[in-house]
Amino acid sequence: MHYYTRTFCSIIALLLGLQLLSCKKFLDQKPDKKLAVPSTLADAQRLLDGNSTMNSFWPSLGELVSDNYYVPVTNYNAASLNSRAHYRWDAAAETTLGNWIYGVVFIANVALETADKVEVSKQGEALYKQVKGGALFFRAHALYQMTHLFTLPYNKATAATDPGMPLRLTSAIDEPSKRSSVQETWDRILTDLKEAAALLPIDAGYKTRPNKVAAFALLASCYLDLEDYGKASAYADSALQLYKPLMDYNTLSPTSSTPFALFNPEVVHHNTYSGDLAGANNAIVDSVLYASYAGNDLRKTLFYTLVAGQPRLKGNYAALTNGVAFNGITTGEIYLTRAEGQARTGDVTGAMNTLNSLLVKRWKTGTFVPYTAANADEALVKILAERRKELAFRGKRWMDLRRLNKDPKFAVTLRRNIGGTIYELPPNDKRYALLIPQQVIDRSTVQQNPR
Amino acid sequence: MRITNTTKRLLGSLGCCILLCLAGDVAAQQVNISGTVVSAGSDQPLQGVAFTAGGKTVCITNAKGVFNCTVTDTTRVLRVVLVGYAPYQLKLGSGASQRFTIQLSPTDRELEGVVVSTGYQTIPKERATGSFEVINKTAYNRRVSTDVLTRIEGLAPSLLFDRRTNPNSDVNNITIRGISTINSPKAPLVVLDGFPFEGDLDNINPDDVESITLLKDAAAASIWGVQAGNGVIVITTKKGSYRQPLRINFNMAYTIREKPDLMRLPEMSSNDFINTELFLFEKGFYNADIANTTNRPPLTPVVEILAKQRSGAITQQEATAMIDALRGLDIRNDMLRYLYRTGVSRQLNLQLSAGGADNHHLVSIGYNSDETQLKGNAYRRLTLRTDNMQRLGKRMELRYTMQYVASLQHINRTGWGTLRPGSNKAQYYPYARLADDEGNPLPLVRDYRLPYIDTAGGGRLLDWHYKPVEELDYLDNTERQHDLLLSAALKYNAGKGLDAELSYQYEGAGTTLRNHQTTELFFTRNQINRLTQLTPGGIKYVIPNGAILDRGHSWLDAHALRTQVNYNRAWQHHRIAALGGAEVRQNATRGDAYRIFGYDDNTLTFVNTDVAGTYPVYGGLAGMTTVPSPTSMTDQLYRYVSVFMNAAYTFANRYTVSVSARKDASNIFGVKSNQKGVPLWSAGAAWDIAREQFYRFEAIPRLRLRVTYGYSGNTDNNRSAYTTINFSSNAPNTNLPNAAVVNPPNPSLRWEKVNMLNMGVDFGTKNKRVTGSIEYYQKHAKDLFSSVPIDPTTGRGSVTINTAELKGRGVDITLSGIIVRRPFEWQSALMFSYVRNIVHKYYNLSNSAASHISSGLSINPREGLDAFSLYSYRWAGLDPATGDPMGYLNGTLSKDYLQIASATKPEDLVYHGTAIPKYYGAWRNTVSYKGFSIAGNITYRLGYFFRRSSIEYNRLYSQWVGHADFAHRWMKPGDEQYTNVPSMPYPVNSRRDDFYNQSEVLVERADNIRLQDLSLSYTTGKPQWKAVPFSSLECYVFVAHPGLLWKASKSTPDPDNDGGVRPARSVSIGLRASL
Repeated sequence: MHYYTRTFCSIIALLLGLQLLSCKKFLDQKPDKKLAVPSTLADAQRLLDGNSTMNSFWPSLGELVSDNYYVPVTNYNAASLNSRAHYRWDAAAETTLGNWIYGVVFIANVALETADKVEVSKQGEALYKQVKGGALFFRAHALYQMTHLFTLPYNKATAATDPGMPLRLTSAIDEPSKRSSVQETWDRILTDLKEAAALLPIDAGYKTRPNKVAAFALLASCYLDLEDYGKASAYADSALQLYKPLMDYNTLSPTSSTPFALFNPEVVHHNTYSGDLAGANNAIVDSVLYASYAGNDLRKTLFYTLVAGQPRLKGNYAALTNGVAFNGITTGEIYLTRAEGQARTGDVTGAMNTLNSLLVKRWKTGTFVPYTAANADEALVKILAERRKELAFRGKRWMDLRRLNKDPKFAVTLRRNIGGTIYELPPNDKRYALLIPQQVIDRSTVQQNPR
Repeated sequence: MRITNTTKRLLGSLGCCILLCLAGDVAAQQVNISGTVVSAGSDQPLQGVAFTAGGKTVCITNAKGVFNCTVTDTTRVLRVVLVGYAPYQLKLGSGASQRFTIQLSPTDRELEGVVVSTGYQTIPKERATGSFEVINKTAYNRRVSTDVLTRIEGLAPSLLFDRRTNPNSDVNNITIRGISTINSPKAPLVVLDGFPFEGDLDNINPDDVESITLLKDAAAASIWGVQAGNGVIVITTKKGSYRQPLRINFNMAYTIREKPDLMRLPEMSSNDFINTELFLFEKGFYNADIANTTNRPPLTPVVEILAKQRSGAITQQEATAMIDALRGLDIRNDMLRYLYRTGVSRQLNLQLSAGGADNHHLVSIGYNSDETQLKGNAYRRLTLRTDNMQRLGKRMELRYTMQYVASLQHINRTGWGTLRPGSNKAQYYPYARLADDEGNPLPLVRDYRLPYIDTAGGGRLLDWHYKPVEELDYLDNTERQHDLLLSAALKYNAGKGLDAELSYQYEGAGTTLRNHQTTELFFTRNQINRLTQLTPGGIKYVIPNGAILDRGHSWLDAHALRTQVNYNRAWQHHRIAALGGAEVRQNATRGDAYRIFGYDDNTLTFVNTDVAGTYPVYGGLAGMTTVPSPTSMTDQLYRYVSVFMNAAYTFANRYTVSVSARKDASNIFGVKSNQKGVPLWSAGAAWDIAREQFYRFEAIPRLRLRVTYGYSGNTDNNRSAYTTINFSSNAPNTNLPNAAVVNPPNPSLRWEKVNMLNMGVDFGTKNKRVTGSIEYYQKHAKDLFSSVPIDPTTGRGSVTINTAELKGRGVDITLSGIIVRRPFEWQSALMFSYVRNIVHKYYNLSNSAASHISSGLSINPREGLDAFSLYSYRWAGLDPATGDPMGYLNGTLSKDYLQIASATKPEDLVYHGTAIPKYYGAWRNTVSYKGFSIAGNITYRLGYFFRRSSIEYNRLYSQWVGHADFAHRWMKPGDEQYTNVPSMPYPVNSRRDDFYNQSEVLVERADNIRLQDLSLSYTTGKPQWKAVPFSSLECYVFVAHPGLLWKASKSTPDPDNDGGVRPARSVSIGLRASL
């Protein structure tokens, strides 16, 4: 009996002691294998690979307020209140939070901070560059997209005082947001992109991962906005030096509902937006735009389809038919940017060559007669017309309208006819800076755009 | 056929009951019995031991343990009972005078509200300082249910079941004394035989339960530390006792449950729905969908007929005739006929227990079989439990138990609310038909238009029609569970009141999900068809033409080890009851799920399928897509280390003080402060005034005051102090492993704490005619997680931080008494609870009124008001000219719904009150005469409001969701005097719908009183009826949810189930026997 007693008491004492001593190690185990504090480059890369945030459902607003399409009044009536208000450029049109893609900026910042904390080994250097360059690219790309929605077009004279985007460079959520100037916003985008371009590889293996070509291409687009056409042309050229495939549209099936493959060779960076009223289910292509495609222009049958006599949207580079469309970067866009840069800097021949090398792939084999231009202005008119046709419904029209409106030669007043009532958006209107989502105004000191 | 069988069985059982009832008493001779009763082990004489026969007390022992009395010679067995001791069956021999020496074995398990269990110890309620609630055993046993939780509803004050968000019997529906947290889990902790129960609560056989105690205040619950903030439900199972002859208990019940009363749902009539469609068609609402040759969105039959008419395929007369034929239909009739049946469940339970001088054992076997009202749904459960105690020498005891549960559930899910079309439609149009007049299954439109489906593929695709009734026979979706619980506890009694305990418990529970979806199911055919490629040369199946098998496994491994030292000693005027110990627990859950294509169940063959590549969808119905293949894995591990102590000191049987403390640490992720542990404590005192010399109030011989104060806590495993990311596989299109941020950094993270002050008085009148207690408490929950909306520019919409505070107060009152004494006896128990939960602090930047308007069923935090507060827009009636709803904007009439939603200040909203009951409770009555007993439980809920459902035109137009209120809508000027239902608008304005549905005009009082259950039983046994071999035999009939007795609202059939199906009524008959 005594034996039992002693053994039993010792066991209890031992267990009590063990429980308290081993506590630390015992509790160090992760509660869920799927959870982690981001601490390695692989973690950061996986965050950036979360393409449902980083590359999908980006702002649809730019396309919604553009003039590439119209909707039948029945579709208009069936649409959401906010979409309807934006469609008619209502001064009070509320912007939904989905257009405020600072979630991308946050992930990019978390990835950047993780990458900066890691000691980089020799083998890890390539991954480090991909992560850091990728994060900088995503941050710049998100800012670039939002800048076109929420700030006034770049104007050198007032850029230092025009309100720009809040610049968030860390993931700390307690840091207050305030609007930078338009100049500071563009400076940040350029700095990030240049650093990204230096780090990124030419081919990142996946079209959703940023690469050097995409960084150069986006820099070129930025310089169009900043009206520095020499740089626009130079960066576009740098991009094309590295990567310039164009698909021959003659090889694509005009009867397929998804003629373009996902991640096709022309895609430099993949990105999508949800079309809303401007999506395939609602939009009827603007008749002037549709008519501008020549009969032998294959884009007419690949991009669009006639339903009950009306041109509707069909193929897009996201290979989707549910109203979600592509707004990433393609080689086609880079050709057009280079051409515009060349034309605006006086290289008419170069500009037309660049343009023709793109268009020959778009026309029915043997029917394309190369475009010519007598002077830079004529070249520019042709290039901009082709730019609109090539990049229609890729989220670019709104960006182009904003910058081209500054030049009276290209300025347009947008019009909507809704059941007989005409709504207008004149060039350089205050409404070209859309309203910042109300939640942002409510919860921060960010200033709303004036009306 | 089933009904006839059911009826036969019912009649048979009733007949048995009636026969049993006819057995009566017989005249008899007198027998003298005498002797002494001592405590087994110590041989101390026991005072107050009662000898009962057929419920009547015939004898009570004096201070020397001596008894002496006379009984009739028909008495064969006397029940010998004393609180704190195992009951003993005294078998009488023959002879006019008989002497006995009886030993009673002490036990801590005796119930009837006298002993409470905390899971760590059992203490007599009269020495407890804390607030405990013991579920009445008789009332618990009278109920018939497959699970434990259903049986305790309405049986204790402070306990509230709210099934409005989840109709099932779920621990998450339970609150004890209101809520103690805002964003963390709100379910109370469930403890089974001393350890937190980690498995599925449905796996506890309610017939195995001996007692249930609720721990309500800090002193009672703080021993459970950071898990006790929401209260604790302590379940103790049955076990045998020493020196007990073999006892056999048998319980059998048969239940039938009515079909759901779908016809009482406030649905729109087919006629109204069709007229709406005609109106919308006229307006061109469907034009885009009709013209959509890409996605082919679903259209109702009426719209298809109209489209045909417009295209000239049929004449107007034909169209009208076809449409008129649909006007009288109601999908609910078809559902009740083809999808539902009368539910039937059977329960059997057999228990054997016996004990010798050194050991005792109990074996219990239970079997449950439920065929629910939804055809194809079924649940079968086998439970097996053994509980054994073995003395090892004089000082050591080993208890070892085993519980094994195997269950099989057939899951069907084709019924009201679950039978739904595809696309964005929320429910079927009311004139949908499931079968034709001959009962042949009919197809319903689902993801795509029917005319398209009819011809798509020119016969080369699999049949693309959805016929829900036909599918019923082919559903093969099951969930199997195996749950094994093993425990061993070694207790060593060191003498002088000191004992030590070492206990260990293992639980291994496995769940296997298997959904075998053959090509008879629309799901499978749709998956295959969508990715089929038709070429002139042949058919290419991307998804093999065969069954799709989904499998899932999960396994729980839980270990718990505890060491505990108890000290219980009484000397002179002093008494100490103390315990201290430590425990380690670990729960690991691992699981996986995967899908197999082209599966053949007969040969177990399958076809490997490319789930990474993207393929075009048939006919361009959607963009390029991958083969959907839900594969997932989970691996979770929670670890806890705790030390705890509890001590109570009683002086002169009158003054008790108690203290309790606990420190917990866990591996919850990335929380530094966690690992340092959280100390939680409580203290309490009790004063038995009635035992004071000066106390002379004889009408109330029992009077006791209690007060406690202390802390318990609440954990949420999903929080972390660091930025945490969550990995997932297969990013869209790239199939890359990827991650998303779950938590932004939160360095100030802490655990939630609940502080409670409890004051109580227990009283009893002479002869315990009326006993009761009144308790008042104040609760202050601090450091509560609150989701704070933040500047979206941070990249996050909200963060969860420890900022909120809740203050609660309430009263619990229990009164029970014997209103009329034997032979006709009427017992009554009244329970009353008053609870307020006030949001004391909440960080809410949003100043928009819209964010405060909700159904009230989720917490709506506004400082200074009830946690579940209900707000509405002010209502200004309908516009007499248009029937538009009108509200107020800055004090003036307005129809600018956008401005009303964005510019109204929260303080300008109408505040109705709380959406959860402020006052609730039950009134239980039992009337018995001889062996007959009728009992009923009436529950009441008062002082709260609900928002009635009504028509939302936006949902009607685009999602096919109607409402009966449509029939009462404004149609012409003048109608505004009779109705508040707005006119039908076009185009639809969702803000107009929102305004109306969130206005004060739809909020009503939810107060109601309902008859929770009703039971009738007849008990007999050997003493009354020698012919039967049973010491006790009981036949019973039990009715669950007979219905509402009163409600404040006139517009809804049941305010607690507005717009939904009320709990189905059921009738059970059963038999309980002891041998």
